[in-house]
Amino acid sequence: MTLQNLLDRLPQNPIVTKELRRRMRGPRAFLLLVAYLVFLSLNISLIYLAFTLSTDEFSNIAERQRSMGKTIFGMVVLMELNLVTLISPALTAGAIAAERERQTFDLLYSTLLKPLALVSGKMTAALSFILLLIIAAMPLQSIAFLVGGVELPEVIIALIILIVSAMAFTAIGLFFSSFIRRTLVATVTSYVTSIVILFFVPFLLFVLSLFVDIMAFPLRNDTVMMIVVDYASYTIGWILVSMNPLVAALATELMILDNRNIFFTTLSIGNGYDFPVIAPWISYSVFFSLFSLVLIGLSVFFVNRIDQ
Amino acid sequence: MSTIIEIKNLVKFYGRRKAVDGLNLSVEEGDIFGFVGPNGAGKTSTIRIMATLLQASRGDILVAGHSVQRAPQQVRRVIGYMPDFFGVYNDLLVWEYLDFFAACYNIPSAKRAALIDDLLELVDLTHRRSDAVEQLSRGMKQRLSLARALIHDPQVLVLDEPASGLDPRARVEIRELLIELAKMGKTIFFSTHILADVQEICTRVGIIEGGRLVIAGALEELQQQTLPHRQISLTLLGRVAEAQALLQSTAGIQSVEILPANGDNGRTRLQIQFVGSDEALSAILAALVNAQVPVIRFDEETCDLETVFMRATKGLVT
Repeated sequence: MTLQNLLDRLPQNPIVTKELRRRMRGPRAFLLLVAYLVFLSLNISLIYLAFTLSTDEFSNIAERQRSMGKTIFGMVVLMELNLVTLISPALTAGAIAAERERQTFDLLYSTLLKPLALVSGKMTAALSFILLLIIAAMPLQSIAFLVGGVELPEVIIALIILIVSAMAFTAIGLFFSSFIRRTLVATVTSYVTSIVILFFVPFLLFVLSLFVDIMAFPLRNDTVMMIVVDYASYTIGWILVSMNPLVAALATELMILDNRNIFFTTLSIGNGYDFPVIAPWISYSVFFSLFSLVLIGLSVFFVNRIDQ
Repeated sequence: MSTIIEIKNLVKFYGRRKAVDGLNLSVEEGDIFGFVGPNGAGKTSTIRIMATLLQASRGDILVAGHSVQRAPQQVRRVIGYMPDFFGVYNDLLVWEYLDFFAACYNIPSAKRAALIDDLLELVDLTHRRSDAVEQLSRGMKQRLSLARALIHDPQVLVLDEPASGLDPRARVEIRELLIELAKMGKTIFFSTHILADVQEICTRVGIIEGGRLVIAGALEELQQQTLPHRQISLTLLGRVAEAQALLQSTAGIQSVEILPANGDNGRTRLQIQFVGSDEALSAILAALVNAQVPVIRFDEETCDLETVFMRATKGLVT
């Protein structure tokens, strides 16, 4: 069986083919990829230079290598996360709104194409491009393996967080694009929402946990109440950690360094009480996967809505 | 021939404004149906409902027996819709554009290449197959849109202002294409402002105004319905007084008028207003010939669609 035959047998979504043809045509996608890789390479070079020049801080070469490996890996993942959260909404915010502006939406709607195929096609095309950026950066990430300090579970967890983030932020763009008719308005709304989710919600939760602590101060002599209050603050804190990809990634890394378990950890709330919690990357992935599914469902609903 | 499009008591409100007001219309299979009306008459609303893009407030449209309300997917299978705008992806190549829409109609990839070649040949764009859509002229884009509407071999073509904004050559090309498609057995339902196009190619015409169908039928029927009498022109070489007396005494003739001479060539032109059948008209000519009136021209003047349109409509806008 030839590759062409194999490809023909796969379920095909015309939207994916069209979007990829349009996106990859011309120098724009290629230049973006080159600029992104050059930027990552420069940063890795700087880190390498900094570590090789500062020999005094490390007791031995192995420790320096491990530290350099972790720094390179952390920096690449951080850059990729920033890129995913910045680029994803832009890739989809105009996906359906632009079809309306270009007056091609009616043409699509009058064909046999299902709204789910339209939405999933737009999403898949956007995710494919992000995946290309992530995969293209993998050789740079693998430098961390060469110098040591990074293990396979960490790489897999980072990849899951990246993919879930890409899904969530493309879904945000798609959602607004499905009912806002102007690309510009949909893009601005998507970015505002992304910023609120990334910064404002965690900030609000942080303020809430401080508020719980302050309100509980008069109860400091009541042991049972203090346990409840501590439990509430930690739960809020844990949700906070699970709301932001960067914080979830960092908290997971700290958890792995601390107890070397990638799935669970325990939190001490004082008075000798410990309670188990799942790893932040799991709660983050579950929460944002569900969030993405809800947004995709709503996007299909809005796309399917016939003009009244 | 059977009815392929049936519009039944169609009503469309936009807020409190009624755009389509109880429209009833049927189109026979194989017709080239011209849907004519002033701006704001409700043509585009009707067409968008037919193309399953707009929800009717009341009533229904059946296309090949399928209801646009209850079976929109079935309707989409049998109609090819071309809106009054191009709706093209400028950065796709011509063949990619058609390939994309073929895939949207679930046409297997193995069949698409040959289908695209056939369609490009039909719309005379074979030589632009690998050009970007943005490089095409307006007329070419319109022909490409028509090829797109035909990609799934629909029974009915629903075209909203297909010749709008085109230069005379492009208009003629589109017109010829529509005639060609009708010969291939397609039913064509199109709205237009360009009455000359309708007069040239349509087998039946419907005039809509204020959301209501004012008149519908073949052009000859519309002429008969809108004009109170038939207008006959005669040119005689002499015996004018005898002819005038004979005509005035004939039943059905309303008036006889001698028109100003057109040069000094011995010819006299008469115009008569007549109400009656073709047989009665034939009898008039026979009577003139029997009376040895030298008739060199006997012709019924047909009024054009513009006259019918102006008489049928009142300039209402919904």
